[in-house]
Amino acid sequence: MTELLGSYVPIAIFIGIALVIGLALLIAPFAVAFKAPDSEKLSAYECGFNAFDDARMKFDIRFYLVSILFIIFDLEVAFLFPWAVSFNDLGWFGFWSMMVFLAVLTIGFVYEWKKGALEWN
Amino acid sequence: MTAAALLPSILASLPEITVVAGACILLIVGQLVPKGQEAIIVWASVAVVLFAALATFTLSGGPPAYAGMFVADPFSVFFKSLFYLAVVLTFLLSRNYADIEGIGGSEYYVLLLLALSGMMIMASAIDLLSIYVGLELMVLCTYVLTGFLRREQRSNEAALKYVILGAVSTGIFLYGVSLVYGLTGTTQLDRMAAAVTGDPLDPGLLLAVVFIVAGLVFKIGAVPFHMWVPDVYEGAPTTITAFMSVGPKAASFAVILRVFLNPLVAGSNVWIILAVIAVVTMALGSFVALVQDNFKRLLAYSSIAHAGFAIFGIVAGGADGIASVMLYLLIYTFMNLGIFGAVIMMRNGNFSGEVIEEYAGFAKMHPGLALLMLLYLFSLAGIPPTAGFFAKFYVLVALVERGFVLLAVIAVLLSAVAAYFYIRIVMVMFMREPAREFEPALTPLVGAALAVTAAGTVGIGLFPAWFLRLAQQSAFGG
Amino acid sequence: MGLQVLFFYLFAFIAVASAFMVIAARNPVYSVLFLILTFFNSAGLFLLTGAEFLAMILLVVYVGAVAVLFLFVVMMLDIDFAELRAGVLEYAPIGALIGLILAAELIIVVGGATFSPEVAKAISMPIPAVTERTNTAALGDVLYTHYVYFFQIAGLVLLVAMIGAIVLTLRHRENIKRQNIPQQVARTPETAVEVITVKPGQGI
Repeated sequence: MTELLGSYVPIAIFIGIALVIGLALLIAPFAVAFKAPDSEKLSAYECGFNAFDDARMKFDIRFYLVSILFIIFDLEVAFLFPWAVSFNDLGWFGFWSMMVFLAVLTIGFVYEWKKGALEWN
Repeated sequence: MTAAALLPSILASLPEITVVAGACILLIVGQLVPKGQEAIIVWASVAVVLFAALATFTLSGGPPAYAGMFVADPFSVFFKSLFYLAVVLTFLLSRNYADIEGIGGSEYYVLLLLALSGMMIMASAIDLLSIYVGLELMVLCTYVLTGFLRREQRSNEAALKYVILGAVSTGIFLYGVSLVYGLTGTTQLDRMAAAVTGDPLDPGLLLAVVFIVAGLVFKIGAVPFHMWVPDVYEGAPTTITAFMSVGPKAASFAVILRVFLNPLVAGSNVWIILAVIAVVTMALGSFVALVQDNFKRLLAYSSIAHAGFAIFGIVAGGADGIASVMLYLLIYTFMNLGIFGAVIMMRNGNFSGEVIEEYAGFAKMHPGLALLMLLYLFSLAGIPPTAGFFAKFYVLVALVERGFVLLAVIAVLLSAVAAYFYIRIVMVMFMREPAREFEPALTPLVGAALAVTAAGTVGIGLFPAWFLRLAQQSAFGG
Repeated sequence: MGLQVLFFYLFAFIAVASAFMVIAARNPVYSVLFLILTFFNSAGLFLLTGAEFLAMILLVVYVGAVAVLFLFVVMMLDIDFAELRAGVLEYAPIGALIGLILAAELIIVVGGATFSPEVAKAISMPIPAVTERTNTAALGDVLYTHYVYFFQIAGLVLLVAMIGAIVLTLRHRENIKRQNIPQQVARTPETAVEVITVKPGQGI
């Protein structure tokens, strides 16, 4: 176990360095920069106009559809990793088990395609 | 689980595989069927269910399959038959209704078939994880079906509420399962009890059992997890409401029976919780239904009350208790699908059929159909000689035999309250003058569905002992 | 060992704190970002118990996909923040009560539960030591063969999710010209062009 965790030490160091750099860049301006705020400087600048409305606006539902389809295939791929790692020990049973799983999702994919869910318009 | 054990396992689960394969094929074929030919899909779906039924009756029995996660015992066969019945009747009722609402795509039938497969997995589950995956498969389909009326805000709202609350309850259930696994090292129901060493009232196990109870009780809509039922039942397409009130509910009861009759759960005095839940559920369902104006909402509360009554049978426990619950669910399937069939039939043109007052004088215009509705309503109220009376009667017998006389008395009193709101609909139909024309969409398919449910409601009322024996024979396997 | 304990407390503390911030943050976008931080720390906790695969999947699936979906949803809802905050205090006592009950139950369990040593021996699917088999491979050894039943049902659940997402959200707009490649390729000059002789002064 210790060996396994030891192999993650570089990542911990990496995160540490990233934190230090990130915090340094965040804090440095407060300490170093010259500050002389006035109302014009602090107002939002948008091509010379005042901002028309809130930055948060409604997304098209189609983005959501694309991303949920992505998640489904993402999960499917997640199932492929352990299968690939222990593929040598699984034998034909394990192989066909995965093929059936993929076939079911391929049916879903064919449905999705026929339905036109992959087209933007 | 090895490759050698696979063939018997596949054979044992052939009904499930049939339904799933049929659903997959219909999903693709449904995209190729030209417009106006959707009837083919309905018939194909019915054929798939009939094939599965055939497989169920020929291949049942045998040892647990898939390394003790699945069993095709008489108990599961009884419940699967009930599911087939519920799904086929839903198909028949849906054909015309789905066209009126514009939801009659192939997905509708495919999702119903997949929900059926989830219910079958639940009925055959003898492992907490099989219960979970079956439940998830079923419940995901019902979430989607609830929101099928995309243009109606009520339907969207119902689906959203259902998803969020359903996910929370499933999470609670899973938490309980993980505690059980941590404390006993297994999720298989029969090995769970054997693996417990020491005090059966271990607080950890008690908590785990309470979580599992909470997660399962949510699915049957018992108090205090009943909040979703009226909104979801009202918002969902009426055919789906009809389906949900019998199919998934029966599947959850199948799971509850299996889990609760496990020695581990039975040993932790969980029946006290159940008795309280049963009384409160029945009381709430019966009293709140009194003030409902919407037919679907009323039936939702009625379904809560009926769930409470059926829980009394679980409280009684033992083979008699199990058999009485099973019979109750079978009878409830007939009479509830019948009354929903009548409501679905009324949906025609701009008549929604959802407001009770709108049925005023229905008997004057269509005496035959009104009599049919009278039959279902009397059966739901539990008036002899309809089947509904015997459903309640056998639960009460099981309760009294176990010495729970007080509970039996409470159940009878609350049933009397519940009878009032069914009779109220009858009054509206028979005693008032018609204010409008009725054009019930009595297509041949709807007519067939109503005939089957009426036959069931009357038939079981005439030969209750035969059906009770059927349930008893199936119950011993559970 | 000391370092492991230190990291456990670090991850656990940040996970709990950022989980609290998920519900306490005023801005839902911040909530999602705190949720991502919670996921990261939970991944760290998984790692400490040796569950490498789960840690990585948590990052790939939850941080990479689910959190992004949450961001979409938060953006899509177009929430009125003032209105959102209004209800919070109203329901806070009930929520706090339920939370307290749950916490009390958990304390009773943690105080009273004993994980008997026999359970570890009788466990239905023991995990092999990390030195013998890596976590990912150990999962793969049983997932596709011993647990084939659950594995296939998981596939079905994904299929239902896919159908559901399409049925509920896909709307084909009319009046939009779409590509129909076979039809476009099969076009010939005969079907595409029509020659009309127009007599002067008459129009078509």
